[in-house]
Amino acid sequence: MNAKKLGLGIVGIFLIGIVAASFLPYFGVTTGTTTVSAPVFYLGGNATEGGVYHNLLVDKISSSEEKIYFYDGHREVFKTENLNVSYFYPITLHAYVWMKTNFSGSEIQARFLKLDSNNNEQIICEVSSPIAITATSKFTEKDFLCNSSGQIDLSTHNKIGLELRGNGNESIDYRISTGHSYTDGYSRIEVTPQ
Amino acid sequence: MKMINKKIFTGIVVGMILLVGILGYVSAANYTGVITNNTGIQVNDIFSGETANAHFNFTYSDYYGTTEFPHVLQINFTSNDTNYPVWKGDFILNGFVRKSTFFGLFHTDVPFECRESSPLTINNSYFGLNTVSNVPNGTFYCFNETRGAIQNLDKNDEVYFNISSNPMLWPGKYNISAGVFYLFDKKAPTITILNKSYFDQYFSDGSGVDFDANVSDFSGLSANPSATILSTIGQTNFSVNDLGSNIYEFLRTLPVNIPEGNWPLTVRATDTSGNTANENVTIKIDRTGPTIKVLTPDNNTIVSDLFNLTLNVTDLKSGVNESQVYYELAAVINGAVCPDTGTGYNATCPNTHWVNIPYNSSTGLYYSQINTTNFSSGSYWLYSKAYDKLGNLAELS
Repeated sequence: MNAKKLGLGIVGIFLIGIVAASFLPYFGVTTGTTTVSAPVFYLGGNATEGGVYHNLLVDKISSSEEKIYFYDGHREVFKTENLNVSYFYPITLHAYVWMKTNFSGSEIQARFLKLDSNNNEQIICEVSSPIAITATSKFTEKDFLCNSSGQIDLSTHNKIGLELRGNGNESIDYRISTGHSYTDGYSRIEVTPQ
Repeated sequence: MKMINKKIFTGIVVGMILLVGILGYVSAANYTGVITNNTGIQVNDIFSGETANAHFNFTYSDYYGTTEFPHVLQINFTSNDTNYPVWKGDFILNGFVRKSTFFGLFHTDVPFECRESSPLTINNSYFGLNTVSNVPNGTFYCFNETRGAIQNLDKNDEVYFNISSNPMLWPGKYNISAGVFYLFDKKAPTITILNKSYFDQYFSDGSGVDFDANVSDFSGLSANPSATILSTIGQTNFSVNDLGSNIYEFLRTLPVNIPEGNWPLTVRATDTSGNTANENVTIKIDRTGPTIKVLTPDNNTIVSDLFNLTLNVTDLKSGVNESQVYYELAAVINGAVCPDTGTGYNATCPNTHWVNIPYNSSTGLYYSQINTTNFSSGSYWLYSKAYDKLGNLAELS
């Protein structure tokens, strides 16, 4: 009952809080601030579901380095776990991928996907121009981006993915480096609101 | 002279110290407990989808009974971008209160859960159901239901919580505020009437009723509990004795006009917050004497010397008092029955007075062999009477 007396003294100050809460009086308040940055999706090397699919980690760098190898005409998909969100605000997806090839002038086609629990795919956006890669012994960073057409509607079992597909024939191979920190960072996708 | 002055000076100093101490105590006791926000919420920046760690502590006076009340934390999130306000599901919170003991050398952690559903009901083990009808978006209530909300948030206790953000959370600056609420005491006292089988028996007018009940409440009772019988004559109230350890004794001699029947006996208790609880039993009142039936002799039978008197006496409620079944033979002279007066045998106007009839357990009947050898010839009136175990009388004539 003493607590009630205490609260009555400050009831005027916190009246709105009391009424809204239906509890006995507010006893004090403290404040803080946090800045939330848009998520970063890191390409992970660990293959899932038969080798086509690989991890796309939310705000987390892959714990191991891996070089992903694939032939022209084939594709690799990096996908998140279920995001458990209902939507994504309109975004620009900007990928930075460390890759190399054995044939200069090779091209990769990239697009961002929405996947359901059965890996049925919908395109979020497609990079307009193929990404040209020069044959080098070292991995080089390629960046490309595209914009979602408005808000991305998702269900709790939806994932976001990045598909990379070689445009040539099978004599050309590609390598993608994941989980390795280069001077310009990891292979990743950065998100910015439109 | 110097010694005396020194003693006086020492006395003044001691007195001042005592006075300061007393004033300090009084001041603390009357302190209204305004919280000093000395740290703010320490929280790191995050990427959406990540979990931030936050903590804060309050410094406040807990002198005024706050140790008796559990607390609920209210955490509010607001976005600096009005186009993207905080929605439910944007954050997930959990955490614990680190309670320091023994000058901060030790601590125990009391976990709490945070909910943002609306309406929100907190079922506290000590204070019952507290419902918040409208929980706005971005508001969480954090508590520990089983251990008493977050227990007593003491000064210098640290509050730690994890803020998990939704990956789709709009990037930007978010303001966090944390407030402390008390819970309303919504839980009524607990009443347990002890030894309820005591009320399997019947009672009658004049019966003494004496029973105990365990009555407890976390915040205390506003007064001693009460016990009342409600019958057609109104309320019959009991006196109460506090036996300690939450045990209360209720006593009452039932009034002479209490009617026959089954009546509710209610024990009622109210706590200091005004919550009232009732516990009921049924008290059974029996005011009817036994039923007497004469099996032998038949009415208007002519007997001589010895004759057998057999009674069937029954009482469906409290039962027959087997030692209190009687007969009386009284001569009828000139149309008048000889009265039951005096003692011994009166040859001119015979009356046996009341004679006990023993119970035959093998037959379940009451039987006597009456010797009329000394009785003069004439008409006699046979009376019988019986009491039940509560003293209710039935007479047959």
